[in-house]
Formats: sequence, C-alpha cells, structure tokens
Amino acid sequence: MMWWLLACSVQESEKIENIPSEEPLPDITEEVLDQGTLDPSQDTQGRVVKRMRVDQVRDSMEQITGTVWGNNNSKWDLYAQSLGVPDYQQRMTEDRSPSVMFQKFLNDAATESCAEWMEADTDMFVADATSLETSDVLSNIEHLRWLIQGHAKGGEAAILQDYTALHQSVWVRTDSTDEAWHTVCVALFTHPDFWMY
Amino acid sequence: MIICILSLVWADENWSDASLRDQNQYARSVSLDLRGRVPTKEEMLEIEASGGLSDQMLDVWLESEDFEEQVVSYHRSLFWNKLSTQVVTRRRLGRSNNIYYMPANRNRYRGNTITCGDFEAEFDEEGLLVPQVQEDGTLQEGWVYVNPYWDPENPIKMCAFGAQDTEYSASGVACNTLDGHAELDCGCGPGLQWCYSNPLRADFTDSVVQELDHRVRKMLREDLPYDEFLVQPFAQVNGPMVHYFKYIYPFDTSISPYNAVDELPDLDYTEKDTWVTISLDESAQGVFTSAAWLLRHQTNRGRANRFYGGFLCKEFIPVGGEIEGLSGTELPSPDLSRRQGCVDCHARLEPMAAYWARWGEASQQYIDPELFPSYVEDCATCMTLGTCSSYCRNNYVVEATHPDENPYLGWLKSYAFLRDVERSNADIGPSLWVHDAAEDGDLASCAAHNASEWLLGWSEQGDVRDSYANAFIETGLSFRELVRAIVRSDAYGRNQ
Repeated sequence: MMWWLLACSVQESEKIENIPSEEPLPDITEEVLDQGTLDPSQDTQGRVVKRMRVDQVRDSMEQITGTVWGNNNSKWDLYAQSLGVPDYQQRMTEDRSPSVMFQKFLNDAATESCAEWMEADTDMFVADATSLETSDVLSNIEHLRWLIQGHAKGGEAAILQDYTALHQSVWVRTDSTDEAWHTVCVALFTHPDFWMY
Repeated sequence: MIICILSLVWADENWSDASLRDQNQYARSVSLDLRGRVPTKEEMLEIEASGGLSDQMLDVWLESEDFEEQVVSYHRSLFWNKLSTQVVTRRRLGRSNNIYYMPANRNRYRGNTITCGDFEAEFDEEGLLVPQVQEDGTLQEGWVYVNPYWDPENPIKMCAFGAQDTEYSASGVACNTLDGHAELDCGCGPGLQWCYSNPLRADFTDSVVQELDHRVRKMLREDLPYDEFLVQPFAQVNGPMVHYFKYIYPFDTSISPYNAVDELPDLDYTEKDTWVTISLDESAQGVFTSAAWLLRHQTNRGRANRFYGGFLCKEFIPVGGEIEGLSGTELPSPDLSRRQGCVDCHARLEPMAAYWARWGEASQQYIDPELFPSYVEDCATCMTLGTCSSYCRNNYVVEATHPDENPYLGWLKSYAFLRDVERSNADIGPSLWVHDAAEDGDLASCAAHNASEWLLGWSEQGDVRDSYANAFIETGLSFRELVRAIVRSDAYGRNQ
C-alpha cells in the first residue's frame, strides 16, 4: 500500500514537472474559407419534442394502469385550471411547460395509480414480481418500460441498470418487493420519457 | 473468432433495437397527437410485428372517434369556443331550504322580496291558492310538490305561486308569453317548463358551445371540404336547446331559435346527447354566424380580428411597429379608418368587421334587410325635421357629430363609414370572406400553418408549410388528409 501511494505521488510530481513553462500559441489567419450552415445535413426542421397535454397524460395513464386518478372524478380534470388548461376566456393556450406544479401532480397521480394498478395485478409483470433474480427483475423492468414509455424490449439502455438499482435499494430498505415495484412504476411515469414525446 | 461472431450478433441486436425503438416512438407520437393517448399494448405488438405504423393502422386512427375529439379540441382553440353569456335571467329559479321559487316575481306575488314559507300550501274548495296574510300585509304561501321537466321521476318542492300551471290568466293573457310573466296567476307552467334553474342554464349554454364542436365532427364524418365546413348553413340541436327555444325563448330573447319553433324536432330536455341536424334559412352562413361564435366574439371588430388571426394567420400591426398621432387632433374623426394613429390597423379592420354588419353586436340576432334596409331616407332627414322614430334612432345614423359622418346619415349604424365597394361585405356576410380566402389560398396556407404548429411545434419553414398547404388543396381541402400529410412527412419523423 505504501509503495503504491509512493508510486502515485512520484508519478504526479513527474507530471507536474513535465508541463512546459510556455506553450506555443496557434497562428491566427484572416483567410476566409467558406460559408455554410452549422449542420448542413438538417435541411428540414424536425418535430419539436413537447410535453403531453393534461388530457393526454390523464388518458394515457388511465389506459396503461386501468385506473382513474381520483376514482370516479379524475383529479386531472379537477386541477386542470391550476395546470394551465385553457378556458378560452382568461387563457387561450395551454401551458405545456414541465412546471413544478405539473411534476407535483404527476407524482401524486403516479403514486396513486401505480398502487391501484398493482392491486389489480393484471398485465403489470411478465416474471415473478416477488423474485429477486436479476433476470426476473430486468424482465419486469423492461416490460414496464415498454408499457409506460413505449421503449422496445431487448435493448441495453443504461437506464435499465438505474431502474434495477432503484428496485434493489428500495427492497433493501423496506424488505418489500411491492414497495420496490411501486417505486419503479412511479419513477417510470415521472421520467420525461413518459410525458415528453 | 468466437468474439468476432458474438460482436456481430450484438451489433445486429443493437441495430434492430434502435430501429424498433424509433418506430415505437414515432407511432407513440402519432397516437398521442391524433388520439390523445399512447397506443394500446395490442397496438404496440402489432406495430413491432409489422416494423412500424402501417398505413392501415393510421387509417383506423384517422377514422376513430378519438381523432375526432382531438380535432374538436384543436378547433376549440381556434374558435376560442366558450360561452358565459347570462341568459334566462327573467325565468330563473332560485332555491332556498331546498324549496324552489321565482326570484323575479317575489315582489309581484307576495308584495315583498320574501319567498314562500316552509309548509304545504293550502287551497280552497275550488282549488284556488290560499296564501297567509302577514302582519305587514304581505302574502306568503306554502309549497307544493311538482314533477319538474328536467327530472320527472323525482318531485321537488316549489313555491305555490311559481308552481301555477294555468295556460291563461284570469284576464286572458297567455302565461307562456312575456306579458304573462307579469300576471299574478301565471307561474312556471306544467312541469315548470317555462322556468330554468342555474345548472340547467349551464346545460343550455354548454349545448350552444357543443353545437360548434358537432360541426367539426360532421366535417370529419362527411369528409366535407374545409371551406364548406366553415360556411355550411345548418345547425344541430339537442334536448336542452329545443326546450329553451320552445318554452323559455318567449321570455328571454338572448339567443334566438335557429329555425321556426314549430319546425324544431321533438326532443325531451333530458336528451342532452341526442343531436338532430336542422336546415336553416339563407341568412345562416355556418360557423361564423352560429350562436357560439357570435356570442363568444361579441363585437364585429372582435369577430373579424379572430377570423383574421385564427383562420388567415395574420395580425394587425401598425406601420413601423408603433402607434403615433393619437393626440393633437381637436376633433378626431369617428371613422377609425381615417383617424390618425388608428388608420394603420383600422383601414383594414373596418371593412372586415363589415362582414358581420347584419348580425347584432353582443347578440346573435340577424338584422333582416327586409325589416332594416341598409339605407332609409326618412332616417337621414328625420333629425332636421324633428320626426325621428325609435326605429331610426336605435338602428340608423340620424345625426352627424363630425363632418365625416354627414355622408352616412340614414345608413344602418353598422354600415357607417363603409365605402361603396365595402358594402358588399356587409350585404353578403362572412361566407364571402371565407370564399375569397379559399380562392386565393390564404385559408389553406393558414390551415397548414396551424396544423404544423399543432403537430410539429413550428411553422416557420415556408417551403415545408407550403408543401402541406398544397397537399391540403390537392385533396380538396380535406382536413384529415392535411393531418396525414404532416404525420407522414420527414419533418414529423425526425425529433429535434
């Protein structure tokens, strides 16, 4: 250990000593090369990624989970005005910014809807949800991500490891796979991959 | 060697995944824009199996009711379709301690602004109401049970004076008329049909708004050209609208019937979701003369401004970007198209506002040329002769407060300051503007602009927008085909 530390310190001091005292500056020329766009391959603009409208979030979430946030009367409708849905008297366009208010209500909706979805226990999982085997956890995460965010299964997205780690950390703290899956479900709904398109 | 083969397999898997993911996200975007929700699980499996969103599935989505609702919502944002007009004030029902009463007739019935007492009403042997005489000499009656027209199965308590259901008063006045409103022995009629409560008033105004939504649905279901959809002279009515026109309108003319009352379909008040199409006379000119449009945009200038912005994608901007010359003129012209500081915008706006000159402001009433000709000689000279009638004073320019008004004496007020060539705008109405805009391509261009904003989030690239407008024109101004052209374009498939 001491040798290793010593070796490191020697290497560091060597690096510092090797830095030249005066680095030569590049030459500046006034020659005009040509003109062009920054990204000439993009001749046509693409679609602007946007936040879902309130009714789109409501209907998508209800379709995926089979539950209504607020049961008979959707709370999305109740809070529509606070969320910037136009009434065509005072407000003519919908506020589609990912505001703190939107995030708060989305989190509330996801928390309630995910719990009810798990209780209904329909098509939420493809592998045993109580299993802690990595392959089972990953299969379920991929399936949920496919259902909620529309991402194809079978990829190697780095975020899959993050969701797996989230599942693991909640299970370690609560000793409950239900809690772990509920948290993953909420995380998938509150991720921009769900509500931005 | 083994490592090389595995690398190829992984590379192929990754490539397939990336391709599939793009198709999934594209289909997801189209579904959200066209149907307002993500694809179902079954649809996602089908999309993945067929390698993307097929034309067949897109057709199904474009024909779906979900798509209709998205297009309705999109047009609501163009029309600013929302009504908060106060109607039916005279025949409104109030409720106190769960007993209904007529606020407008409290004083007339009882001699004071009190309601009835919370006891069952008494009647004499001939069936006449016997109110109690109070210490201050006022009268107070009790309540009776009535089966109201809006919920006949569940009787309510109604103050007995208001619950009277006679057709004619003792003095022979019909109780279902404005004169009958003032008769002591007239009430709300059988089943309270001549009265309204606040929630029912909302039912009616909501129905007027929904009627405009139904026009949009009709456009899609019948694949009407966009310009025809805007000007087609028809209307749709449901139960609450028929009830208002048949029973309430005589007391409260805020919104007039679209048609002769006798020709309205037989619909019960409770048939809120039943819509029947009715044909209209030649004065009706589609969306822009509908009650929802006229009452939402209450002035002719407001109506013109919204059409100019929403359907021609133009706006009024003063030359140089600022308004100058508003002060300094001792007697400014009432003709805003001449007044310094106003001329930049109003020289264009006033002739446009004239398209609605035959519809009342803050009203939905049509100003019939047979009853109100554009020019009346008697009204031009009546002020100097001292013979001005209320007909002239209320509807025509009878005196000039500024020299610029002199040429317009005797003209209908909404025709004032219009030049000869501009009077045809007023004579024909907004359908002329729609027709002209469709002819010169402005309507198609703006529709492409608005749809690009909706689906792409931008509309700046003129060449791309023009390609959508051309597709729109080539398909006979089919709105569904315009949407298809955009979602199938390269621009839509590429996120930024």
